[in-house]
Amino acid sequence: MGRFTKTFREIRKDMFQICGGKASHLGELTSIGLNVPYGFCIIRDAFFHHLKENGLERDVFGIARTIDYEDIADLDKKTENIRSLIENAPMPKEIEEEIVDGYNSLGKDDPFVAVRSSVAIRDSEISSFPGLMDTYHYLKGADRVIDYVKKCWASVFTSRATAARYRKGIDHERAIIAPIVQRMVNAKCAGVMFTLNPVNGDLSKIVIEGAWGIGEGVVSGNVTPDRFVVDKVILEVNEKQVSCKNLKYVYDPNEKKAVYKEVPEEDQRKCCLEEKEIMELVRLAKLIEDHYKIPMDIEWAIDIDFEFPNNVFILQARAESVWSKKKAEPVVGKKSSYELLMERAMKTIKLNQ
Amino acid sequence: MNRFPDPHEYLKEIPEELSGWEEMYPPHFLFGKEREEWEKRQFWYLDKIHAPDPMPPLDQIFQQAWQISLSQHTTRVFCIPPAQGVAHRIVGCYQYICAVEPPPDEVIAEKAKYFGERAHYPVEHYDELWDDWLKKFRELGEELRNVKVPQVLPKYLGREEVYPNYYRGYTQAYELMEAFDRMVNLTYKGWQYHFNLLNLCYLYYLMFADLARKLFPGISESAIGKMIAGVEAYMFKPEEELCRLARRAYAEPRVAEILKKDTPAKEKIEELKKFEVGQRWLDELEDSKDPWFYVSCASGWYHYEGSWINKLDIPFRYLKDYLERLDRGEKIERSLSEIADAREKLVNEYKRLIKTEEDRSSFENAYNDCLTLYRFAEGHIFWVENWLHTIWFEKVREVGRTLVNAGAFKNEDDIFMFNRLEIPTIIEDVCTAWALGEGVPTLKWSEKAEKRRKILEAAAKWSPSPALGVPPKEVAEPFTVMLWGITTDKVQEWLKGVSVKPEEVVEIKGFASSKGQAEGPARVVKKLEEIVALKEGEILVCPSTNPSWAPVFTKIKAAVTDIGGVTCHAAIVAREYGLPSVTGTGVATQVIKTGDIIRVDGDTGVVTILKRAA
Repeated sequence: MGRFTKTFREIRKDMFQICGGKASHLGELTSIGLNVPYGFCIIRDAFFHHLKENGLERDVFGIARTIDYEDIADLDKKTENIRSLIENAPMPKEIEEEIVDGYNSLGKDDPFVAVRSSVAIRDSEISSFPGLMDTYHYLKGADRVIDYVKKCWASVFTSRATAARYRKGIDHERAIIAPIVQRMVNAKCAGVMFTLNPVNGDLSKIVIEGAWGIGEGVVSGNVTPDRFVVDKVILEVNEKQVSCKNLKYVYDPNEKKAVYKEVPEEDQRKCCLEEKEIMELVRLAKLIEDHYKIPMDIEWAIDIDFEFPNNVFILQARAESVWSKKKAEPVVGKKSSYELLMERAMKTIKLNQ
Repeated sequence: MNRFPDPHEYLKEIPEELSGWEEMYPPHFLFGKEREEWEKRQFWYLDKIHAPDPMPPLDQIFQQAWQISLSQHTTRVFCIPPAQGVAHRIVGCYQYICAVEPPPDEVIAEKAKYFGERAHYPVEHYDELWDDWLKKFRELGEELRNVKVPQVLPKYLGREEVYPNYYRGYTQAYELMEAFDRMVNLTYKGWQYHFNLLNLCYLYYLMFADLARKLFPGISESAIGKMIAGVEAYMFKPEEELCRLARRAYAEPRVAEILKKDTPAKEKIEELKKFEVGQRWLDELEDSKDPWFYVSCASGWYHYEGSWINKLDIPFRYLKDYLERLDRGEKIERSLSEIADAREKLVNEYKRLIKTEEDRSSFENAYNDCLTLYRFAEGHIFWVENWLHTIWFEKVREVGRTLVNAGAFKNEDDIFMFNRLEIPTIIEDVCTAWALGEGVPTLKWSEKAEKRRKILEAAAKWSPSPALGVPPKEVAEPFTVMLWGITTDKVQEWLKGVSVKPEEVVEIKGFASSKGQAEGPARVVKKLEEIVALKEGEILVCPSTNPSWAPVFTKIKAAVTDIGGVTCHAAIVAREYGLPSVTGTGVATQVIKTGDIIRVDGDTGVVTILKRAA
């Protein structure tokens, strides 16, 4: 696309040192034919170009070097200083042009977009980092986008992120930040899904959780979602649990941001997903898992503005982080069928009343 | 609070029109004071799998035979530790069964020893056991077929029967008495054979199911069933034969033309006899008939269902269908290897998802043993419930005809109105009257038969309670768990049925046996003959299906059954044709009426009645 930006179509998994982890994943997903809300990435060189053009390099890293990490007040003050330097400096013309072009190509009439952080550490496998501002939703207009790209850059230097790098012995110069500008889904409902059962690590299931509005509700835990457990081998819904979803996270045009709103009474106990949407999500989850060959943690949304199946969007996919780290323990152990038969033969089925 | 009626109290609820029903069945099949205490402790439920309709007395013979055979194999042969047998009672002409409560702990421990020694042997020696079994079973069936039933009690013995060759020393009267006796004994013996491996099959299945549930918590019954069920050749052989005969006919235009007509089988056969090629095709048909046309037109449990061999219109109708499909360029055969491949693919996928080598090896061991033995579960059905039963029914009708000739019955089927303990009495009465000479009356058997027929008709109009007594806390008996799928949910569904009227039901649940969704008008079919009315695109609702029903599946949109799990015939055929199906609903044919618009969800096992027929 340009010197400082790349569209999702142009990004692949192995480009995460340029685009950060999130963007490389989204590029990868796009390349395997998944329906990802369209967007582009402002690559790492842009951040350094911004610093260089505005003569900020010396100050930004200079101040960082003087931080007394034992003194919280000092940490807070200095990082705030650094952030305002980054945010207040004007966006270099070359970068601005590419961002505006990229934004306009996402849709006519100033579409709503999200600006999301996508990070990496130079010469390291790390592709996510604690303390970074994850996503800004519902931004409209190129000017706002530009402001939030700078905000996103600046979040490299939140207190938490800065301290975390220090503790891990990572030089601040190694931080790679490559914000994504991505079209917002006009979500009927959204949520997460795992290509295993997160409760017990069972690899034969896909578990989907969803609620009305955008995914933040489910991810944050503020909304109790509907839950579906699907057997991914036989493609059958094993469990379906419809919760009372009394809140939804949606865009409020007055407040110009996403807020929690009350869900009308009649929708609270209504299942947020149709059967065919569930099966399409399962199909996509399997596609993703087959591609990455490991259990995945996926964010999805159903868009009101599109027809099925084009209304089913994948927003994010990353490696599942809990069970994949655990050592596999045998459930039954090695037993002959004779032993198993003896166990079974002695058993009775309890009927609860 | 909902409960099921007390079995002894419930006797008072039997409609007046059924009065006299108790005489039709042997006394040990009735609830009564002598065994009241024990009976009250058990949980009795309507056996809709083997006896969905009111029980004609002679048809009860199979049930009587299996009560003993199934139970003894559990309690005395294989000694399955906590399980005991399955007891029967008849209430208002309907059969109720129960899993007998477990034995005392010392007995369980004792049985465990014997069970341990005996349980694995069949798996290790399956092929030879099966070959032996089939050989001895076919011999038994031939013996039954060859029992000589005299057609007539002659007015006078023929000259040559008296001298010089009075080698026999006994007459047709004795022959008749002995014949029926032998027929009964052979049938009971056949049913002894029926369970030679079956109890273990189900136990192995349950063992595998348990393992699958430990490795994949929440895995559905239907997934487990799909891994085991499937491709026992005998079950599909009758259809295979029809396909073969259809193709033979298709190659001879004149034969095909005749077979495609809308005329009865008898007429078609007459026409085919008239020319050489036609006769040759008929010869092939003859060859196919034994054993493959001995398949029942329904379950094989009732004398009035018929088999292909005596209801040739049924297979001939299928032949017509096949020929029409061949005309359209469609494939008529089912690929059994495709089914086997699909099953293997499924199993491998699950296996791949097991995390440790130890668990994987256990899964493989359990699966292979279960699959080996389970072939018996599918293989025996054709030979016992279809082939042997067909031979039995034909033989019984021979005896019936003799009794008609002797003036005891009006109709050969009257014999089915009497149970197997009563018929020797009838035969003796008839033989006695014959022996005593001219003008000696017998008891009025045909009047009795008529009266009983009316009782059965009245019973058909009555809907008995799905269960009696108090549900147990636990169930160990493998058949109960597996075939009848007794679980808390099932019992709850039944309790719902107790208080809700059929017209009020909007949704019923069963096993998700074949995936997909379909909506359309329902066609409730209780007897195979009724499928003549079935229209393309309708949804079949029936008690269950069997190989006789297979050609129906090309017309329908989906299938819903009363009984059967994911391993039943309807489930397997629906999957093969890619049709949604929900089986084992228990109540579908009661609750759904022809013309109702229904929605079948083969993924969730839910059937919804969207709109009632006018």
